Amino acid sequence: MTEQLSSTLEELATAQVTLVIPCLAEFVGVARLAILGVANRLSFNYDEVEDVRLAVGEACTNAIERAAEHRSFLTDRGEGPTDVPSLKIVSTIERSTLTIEVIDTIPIQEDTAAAVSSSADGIDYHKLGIVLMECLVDTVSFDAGSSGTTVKLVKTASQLG
Amino acid sequence: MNLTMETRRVGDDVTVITLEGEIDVYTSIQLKQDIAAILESGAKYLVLNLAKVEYLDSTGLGVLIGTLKKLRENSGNLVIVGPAMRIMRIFEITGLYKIFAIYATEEEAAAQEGIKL
Repeated sequence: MTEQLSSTLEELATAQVTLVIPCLAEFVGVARLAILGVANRLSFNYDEVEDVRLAVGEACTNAIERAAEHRSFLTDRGEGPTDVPSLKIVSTIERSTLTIEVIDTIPIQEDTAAAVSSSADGIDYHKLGIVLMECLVDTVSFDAGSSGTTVKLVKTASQLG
Repeated sequence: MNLTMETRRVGDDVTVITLEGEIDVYTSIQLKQDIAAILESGAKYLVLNLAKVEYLDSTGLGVLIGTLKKLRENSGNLVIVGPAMRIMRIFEITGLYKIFAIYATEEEAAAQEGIKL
């Protein structure tokens, strides 16, 4: 069964899995669980699978925290309550490389970005998450704008399975 | 899986906290509140047993750093015990292993830190 799946995957040029979750803290575990299944389809070893799982968790956390700040910002301006935005996680498998895009629709605003990156106790959680992502996968890139942010994580298996 | 917490008060100012599960953006809010309540009750030394913690992210690290800062301001300390290799790796990647006292067992922590457990 496993051999059959592996050979089917090898025959495909690329395979894509898309997951959409509400951009809320209680759903980050769902994203991590799904990515565990996707990463297991490649020839990653145990540590690499765990690295991908943590990096995706950090990318989702980044969006969830900005979404919470944005909701709070809108409420303060008397524009809330607002609908909970969605968070899209697109995983693309291409041979031994996994590319994951974590896509949100939360607009970047100067004041919300500042609030997220520096909390009341002066600890920069945002930077800590970015450091982790950069150490856990091969490349991390951010594309942020008024329509939202896409975090792209790329990881290649160290050896073919 | 969520996060469960067991606490054991040892003497006047030492509390042992045993955590089990995942520390992430969802569970770290409650963890932060629970630890704040323990600090308000007068604990100066916290021994945090992470042996059964399977996942730790940046928000969890943030809670630990914030707690460490508060305790050290009052001449106390936060001691971490028994993290699995995966969890230890997170402390290493972020360089935080340099600021936390991390021990394999509670007994070792007690001996090195001079606290009675």
